[in-house]
Amino acid sequence: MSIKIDRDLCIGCGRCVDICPGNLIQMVGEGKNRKAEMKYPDECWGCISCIKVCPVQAIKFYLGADIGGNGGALVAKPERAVIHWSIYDQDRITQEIDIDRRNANKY
Amino acid sequence: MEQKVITTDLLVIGGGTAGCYAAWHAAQLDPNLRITVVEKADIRRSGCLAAGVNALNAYITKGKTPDFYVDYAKNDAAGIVREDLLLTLSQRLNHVTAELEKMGLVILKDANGDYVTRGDRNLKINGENIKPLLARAVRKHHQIKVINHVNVVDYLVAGQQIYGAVGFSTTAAEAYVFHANAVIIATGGASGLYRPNNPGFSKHKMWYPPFNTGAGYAMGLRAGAEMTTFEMRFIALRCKDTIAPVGTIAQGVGAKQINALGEVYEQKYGLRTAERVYGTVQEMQAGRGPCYLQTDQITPAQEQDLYHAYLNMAPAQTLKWLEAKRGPRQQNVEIEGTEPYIVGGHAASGYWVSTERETTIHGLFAAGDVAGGAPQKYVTGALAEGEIAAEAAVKRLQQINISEPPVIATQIAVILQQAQRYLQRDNSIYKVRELEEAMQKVMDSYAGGITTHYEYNGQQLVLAQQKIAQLQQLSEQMAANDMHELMSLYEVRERLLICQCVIAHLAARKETRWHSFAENLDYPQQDPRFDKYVNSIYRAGKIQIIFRELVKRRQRYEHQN
Ligand SMILES: Cc1cc2nc3c(=O)[nH]c(=O)nc-3n(C[C@H](O)[C@H](O)[C@H](O)COP(=O)(O)OP(=O)(O)OC[C@H]3O[C@@H](n4cnc5c(N)ncnc54)[C@H](O)[C@@H]3O)c2cc1C
Repeated sequence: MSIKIDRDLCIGCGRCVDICPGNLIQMVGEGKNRKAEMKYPDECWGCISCIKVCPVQAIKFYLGADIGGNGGALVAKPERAVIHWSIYDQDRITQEIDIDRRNANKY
Repeated sequence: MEQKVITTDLLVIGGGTAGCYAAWHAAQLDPNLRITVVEKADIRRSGCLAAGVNALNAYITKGKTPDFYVDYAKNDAAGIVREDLLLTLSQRLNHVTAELEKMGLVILKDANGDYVTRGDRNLKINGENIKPLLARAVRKHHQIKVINHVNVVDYLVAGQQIYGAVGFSTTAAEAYVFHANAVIIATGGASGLYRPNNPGFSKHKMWYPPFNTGAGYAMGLRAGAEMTTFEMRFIALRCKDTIAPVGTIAQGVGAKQINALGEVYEQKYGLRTAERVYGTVQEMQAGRGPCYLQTDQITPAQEQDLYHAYLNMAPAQTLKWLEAKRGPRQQNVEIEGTEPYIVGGHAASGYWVSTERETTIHGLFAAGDVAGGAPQKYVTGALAEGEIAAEAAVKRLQQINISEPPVIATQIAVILQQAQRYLQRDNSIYKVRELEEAMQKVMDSYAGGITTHYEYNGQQLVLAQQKIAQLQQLSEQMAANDMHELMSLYEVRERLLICQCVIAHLAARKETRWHSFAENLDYPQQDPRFDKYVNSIYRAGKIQIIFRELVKRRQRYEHQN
């Protein structure tokens, strides 16, 4: 269970570092090269708080091979009224799901 | 290491569900009170609620009463509950729900504007943002100071009276010393004691937050606080691999538990929480595994709704379905039991508290998963307890005026020196995570983990106790390279002490009252002589067991000393 941070997309804002409930992400490097890095990938709970707080969708969530991961990944982009979810197969989006934040779960 | 000193009236340790709500409520009770919330992560997404939750599991639905809820929880725990605690929290469930809705939580309503219920006790919600909403309510109160990224490791206690606590930054070389005349502990339960379902790369893909490591229990034990019912472990029945909740499928689309032969087995073993786990274990042991939730008959619309529901609380499960291109209609959902946790919001383990939620240490109150005696409290029960604890703490602060004895300064110095030693040492043979793995293996093999189908006997417990004691000795020689490692080091130290306590409790309850949760092979039957609480106090390195008589529902329980 873990995340991958895309160094090229990361703008170094540090929001994911602050939000992680396990204190697992750290800022590494100086100046323009100061980027977020997942320091403890095997300690990730999979809550995806970091993904929701990232302003540029630089973080992807994937399942470890030991729990049936199949090369896919998940990204969430929260907006005011909806959360926009994308499912990736490698770099290609295969499915998108919009969830209205004002609706309750049916179950 | 830099030292920061914070003096406050009320200190709340753990800014999770109960902690945030307690601070928020205390601020409303007394606008002049200085309140500090200290949190190991960031209150916007810390603790159980980080990913979101699916439903409000504890609510008094139309036509039902608080007594109905107490009866349910009491039956589920085969009688070993504090009915006074359950009743007082049940009386507040609907009120705290209304407050949550005012904070912005979306709760499903029907055309008449009434909440839509799921079964007899649940409400349907959009729980994705429940934690940011609570955090926002806290931040609106300027009298509440929130300190994020500080891991609290020890109380300051003298003469059974609390004076504050000490913690360390998880990032910078900073120690935090808190002085307060009332403290609410709300650090949640303990995960990571036993070898988890996925011990490799995904070791933290567990049900309970891997970052709730039982600090509150361990600090209480070290300070001599009385604990209760640590032998009632909680084992969750979950979707295999992702460890996502099953209630959404079971209750949402009415899926039944079936074995590999397609037989519905849940009626065979009973419907209590523990029996559902036990049934699954039994079917597997009889060679009829794997077990599933039967979802292959749901409609396409139901399948879509499940994708949505899981994205709102356990996104791994939706990803798993979608990346495999095999949803629950194509494939029944495989289920398994998790490793055992110690968690007072589901089972009854935790601090032994008065009806007002005061622990046996004066001025220290407990709420949420860290507090014992009241299982099935869930989100709303944690909020209700936060409210009760806040009221008692504020009352106390208005009544007392105490000054800190000089021995507290000595205690602070000892705690800080110890941290320095951990940080300066560089010759430790064993790494923190090696000791953690060793501990988990011991608990798994000898104290009823997944490997032994949650079963144990007296001889195994003796071995478990010896091996944990040995690891405790080794843990004194651990070293930390930075502040993050220092946190991990304290986490293992906490867990080892909790393991010691769990083993002593398992050995003391010489019966099997709850299958799987405490499956004692030497005593496979329930025994009415154990219609009592197993409590404990940690003294001079040993866990002393105390048996206490059951407290009545309408009794106001106060500590004797
Ligand atoms: C995955 C999951 C799903 C759930 N789903 C539901 C549901 O759908 N419905 C429902 O009603 N209930 C649900 N529950 C139960 C419910 O969420 C919990 O019972 C409740 O939130 C517990 O509240 P708490 O305040 O005791 O713990 P938490 O909310 O976990 O708070 C504990 C806090 O203490 C902090 N902390 C820990 N140690 C330290 C330390 N040493 N120093 C400083 N801070 C520390 C933690 O970071 C955390 O913020 C779920 C629980 C889990 C784990």
